Amino acid sequence: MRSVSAPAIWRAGVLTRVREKVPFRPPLTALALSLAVGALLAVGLFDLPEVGAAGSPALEHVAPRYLNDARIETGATNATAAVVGAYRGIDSLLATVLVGVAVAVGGLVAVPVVAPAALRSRRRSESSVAAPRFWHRLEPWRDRVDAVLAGAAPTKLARFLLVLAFPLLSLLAVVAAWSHVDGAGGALAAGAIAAAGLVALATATRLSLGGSAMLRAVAGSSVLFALAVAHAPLMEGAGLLDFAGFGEDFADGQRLGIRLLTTGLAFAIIAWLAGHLVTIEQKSRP
Amino acid sequence: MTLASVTFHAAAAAIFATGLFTVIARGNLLKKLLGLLLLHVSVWIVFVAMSGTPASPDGATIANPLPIAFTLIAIVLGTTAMMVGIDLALRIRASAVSVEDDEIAAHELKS
Repeated sequence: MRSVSAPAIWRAGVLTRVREKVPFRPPLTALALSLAVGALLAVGLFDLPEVGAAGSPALEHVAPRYLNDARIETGATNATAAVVGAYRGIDSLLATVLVGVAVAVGGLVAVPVVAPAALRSRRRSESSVAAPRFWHRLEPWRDRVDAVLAGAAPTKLARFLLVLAFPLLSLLAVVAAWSHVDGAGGALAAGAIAAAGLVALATATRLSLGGSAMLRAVAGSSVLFALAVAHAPLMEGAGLLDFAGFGEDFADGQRLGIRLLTTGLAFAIIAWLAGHLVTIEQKSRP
Repeated sequence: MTLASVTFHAAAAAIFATGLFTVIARGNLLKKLLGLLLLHVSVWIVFVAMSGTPASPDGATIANPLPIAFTLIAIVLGTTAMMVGIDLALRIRASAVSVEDDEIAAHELKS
């Protein structure tokens, strides 16, 4: 971990100056907005169960098993180590993979190696920021990625991989949207994954995704659909977001309602992200 | 309402508000990223507060390991996200010469 964070901090130092740039005017809007959001959060947080209260949801379900049986089941003497390493081992593994991918992507994206002329003329000493020699070997790869993004035809292999990525990512998005039993967290993930698949397809086939007007319409109608789902219980006299009446019993109804809401939000995010990415791609084309 | 609850939740809300203010009001991309990290931190605090457990009859308390494990993974991923953000800021600086957003806008107008 240290080998990852040290260069990051080292590079971060480049981005600051000795003296702070004073904003043109006092950011009163930002102040008011952040105070309002903070107050709203404080009100919401005080609705959570007391810290350490018996019967709070965080202490039910799996927590008693982790506390009582971890020693016997995993052999770890530390309860947290048992959770991170054994019970939630796949989570930890995926987190590690994600760190590796982030390091690779960050290296490819960010290390320009050759400082642009404008920078070099401004401050000679900053060329000491140039990356170690190893990064120079990555330069051709970075150029290739840039060329494809700028509209050049990708190689056959890259096109094959990108076309293959589309159905896989779409499937993954559906799984992400619908596998969250009670949570609504799947929408963002599903939307981002599906948008990535669309962009992969568009990059491979060099097709436009239909212009941003259509995508905007899709995003807008998806948001309207999600809002309609959220308000539907009001028709039956139930509260906002109270989907109990959607199904046979309480849990069934809630699950269905949250899934419908999540799907609407996911489509909104897909359309919004894809619209942005297509606009960026069209701008960068010669 | 116990003192622990008030402290943890008020701290989380205050840190979130500070982070949001930093993200909106500061022009330097690195400072925006630090504000984003503050938003992360406030969530970690809420999770750590969740790991509190009531005392057992003999007076001993053991922290609930699950929220702590989540927080550990969140810290790793938050730091990673920061690193990718710093990398992107460096890339922006390479083409727009600056990471102050008004200077970036001026550069875009010029080119």
